[in-house]
Amino acid sequence: MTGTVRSPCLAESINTALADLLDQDPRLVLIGEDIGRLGGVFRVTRGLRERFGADRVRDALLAESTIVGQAVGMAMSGLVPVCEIQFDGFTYPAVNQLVTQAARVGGRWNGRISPSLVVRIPTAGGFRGVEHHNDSNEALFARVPGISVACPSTGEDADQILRYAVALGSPVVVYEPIRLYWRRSSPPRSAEPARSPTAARVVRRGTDLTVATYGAITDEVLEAAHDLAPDVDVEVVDLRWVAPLDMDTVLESVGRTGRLLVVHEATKDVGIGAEIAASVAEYGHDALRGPVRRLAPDRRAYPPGDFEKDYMIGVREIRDEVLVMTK
Amino acid sequence: MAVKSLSENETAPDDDTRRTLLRHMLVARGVDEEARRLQKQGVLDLWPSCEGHEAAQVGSALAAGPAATVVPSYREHAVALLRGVTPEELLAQWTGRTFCGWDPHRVRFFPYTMVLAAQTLHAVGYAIGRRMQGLEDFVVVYVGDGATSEGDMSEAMNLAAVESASVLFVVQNNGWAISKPAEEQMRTSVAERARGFGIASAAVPGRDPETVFAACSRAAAHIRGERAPFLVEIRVGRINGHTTADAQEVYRSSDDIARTKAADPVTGYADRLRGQGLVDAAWFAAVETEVREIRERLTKEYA
Amino acid sequence: MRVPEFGHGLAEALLVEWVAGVGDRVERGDVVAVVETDKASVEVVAERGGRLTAHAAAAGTILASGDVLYRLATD
Repeated sequence: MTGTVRSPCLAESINTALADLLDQDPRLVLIGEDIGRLGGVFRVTRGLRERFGADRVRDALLAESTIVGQAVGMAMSGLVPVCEIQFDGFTYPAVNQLVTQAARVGGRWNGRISPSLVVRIPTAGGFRGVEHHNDSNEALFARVPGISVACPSTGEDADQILRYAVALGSPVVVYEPIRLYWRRSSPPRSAEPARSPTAARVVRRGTDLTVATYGAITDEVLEAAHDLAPDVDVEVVDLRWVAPLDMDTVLESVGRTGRLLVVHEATKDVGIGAEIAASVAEYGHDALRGPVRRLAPDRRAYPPGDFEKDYMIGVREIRDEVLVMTK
Repeated sequence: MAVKSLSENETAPDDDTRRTLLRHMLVARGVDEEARRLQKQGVLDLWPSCEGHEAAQVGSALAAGPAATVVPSYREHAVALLRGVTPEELLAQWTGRTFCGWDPHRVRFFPYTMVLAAQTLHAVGYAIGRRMQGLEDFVVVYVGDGATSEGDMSEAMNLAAVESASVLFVVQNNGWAISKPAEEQMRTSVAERARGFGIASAAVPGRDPETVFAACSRAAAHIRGERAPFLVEIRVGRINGHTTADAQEVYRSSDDIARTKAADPVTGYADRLRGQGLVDAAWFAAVETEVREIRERLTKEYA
Repeated sequence: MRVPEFGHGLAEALLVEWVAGVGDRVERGDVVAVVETDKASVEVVAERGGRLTAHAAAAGTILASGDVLYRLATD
């Protein structure tokens, strides 16, 4: 049993950040399914409709293209829409509006408008969700010029990222790990701040090997790193953004450790890990003491709940991979 | 649905408006002909001709008035010119210089959108956004019959109805989604479909700009009075292929093409106003001079 | 009997009140306690019939899925 004193978790930090932003900027509008009366299926927007009104905390029609498509029009009208897609796997009907419209509107208008538009997407698995409730499709949007993609793993990072995103002047997709929304105990992290809102963060200093990771699985990576100490001293880089990638921080870290493992929950093929590995091969080859490796699920659909443990990368697999690479 | 706010007499254009309608139609025709010629010269990469749509476009745009914000599809050249987009600006994107040659804020005519019906949701969102900021705009969104098959069109109609958004949907139904005829695209009219979403609507023939002007004036009065959407479906003929890259002779009978050309709204309306003595040879000569100057400017700029 | 899983990564809940007291007889499906997760109020129901012999926590404490919640003498 844990104590009764509760520190804010990811969902609460996002709620506070959204409330602050609504308070500070009258142009800000939230749009999403069930975000108003219910407070969102994860209660991330709890209390906001009561405080800011149904006009600014808008219960959307159950149509994702409608959510993002109207947000594009609202952004053109001078508002700053912050959309919520209910689950990662329901993002696909909105892809057209995001990729062909939101990402391109600023360029199509020759820079005469620079619409800020944020799409928050609860993501990733590990909670026995039913089909389509456990996806990790961040690499899909990371490939799209004009869209920035953030993957915060703490409330503090989510807060910083949201405040940056609503003022960016181009669309940002923010992936929020469902299994971290209400988690209140996480492995300790270095207090070192990020160099900028878009920078990666070194969340554990180490000398033997760098793990670059992001999102919910950052906790498992940190747990594995703490387990391996002091025999192997692992440095952990929480990327926080997968588009654009902060390769400077990764390359500097690899320059110190000479080894790189990329860990993510999305499937491995043509993923974020491939991009990082390619960049390190191009620009950091001289620093490497061994091959770059990736640890991520095989290319297959997220399985039914009974099989998710086989699919997901756990602390043991991370530890084993680090040991193989540092042997 | 019946609209009682304006009578037939109040929405009928006066003589000045009728001359204005014809002049815009003739200018649009001249620009379209020049654009097709420039495309044949290899100066334009592509041109989606609006020949046959002029009465629908000019009648609806003039009825909507200068204060409305227009969200076009990609064939609304006559609307663009009427709103103050210059012919040079209009052609710029088809020569590969830009994705939008005009300043959308200045003319309140948004950039063309190539992904079918995507703009319908933008138009509704824009209308909601402006209303929320206390700057209620009257928004006109154009879409073709083929594009009404897209999910976004249905979603936009539903959203507009639910939000009671001040949006005029103008559907130009030219009977063809490139090569697929309208009777294979839908089992009801789009106007009938709109009513299923709870949107008042009208279906009108698009050969006579005065009919279109009257229908769209009533629609505009409805939107401004009720603060609710309206859809006008205008049946037009497509004189040329879908674009200059299309070969409509492959899938369309020569009789059908000939009939459409014979029903040309531009020559039809010119003959009518001439017959009624509203315009004379000197008037036509002045418009021809204006068109010739535009064509010279376009060749100078691009050829 | 243990604190159940709450789904969606919710691992904790606040014990709001005991509905079944020590010594009460419960049937499968009877509400034993009311807890509050971060998302919603949830009823903890008896998984089988029996007599409740002990509460393992007091109202107002935070429970974790898998913790012992109460003891049941089954039929």
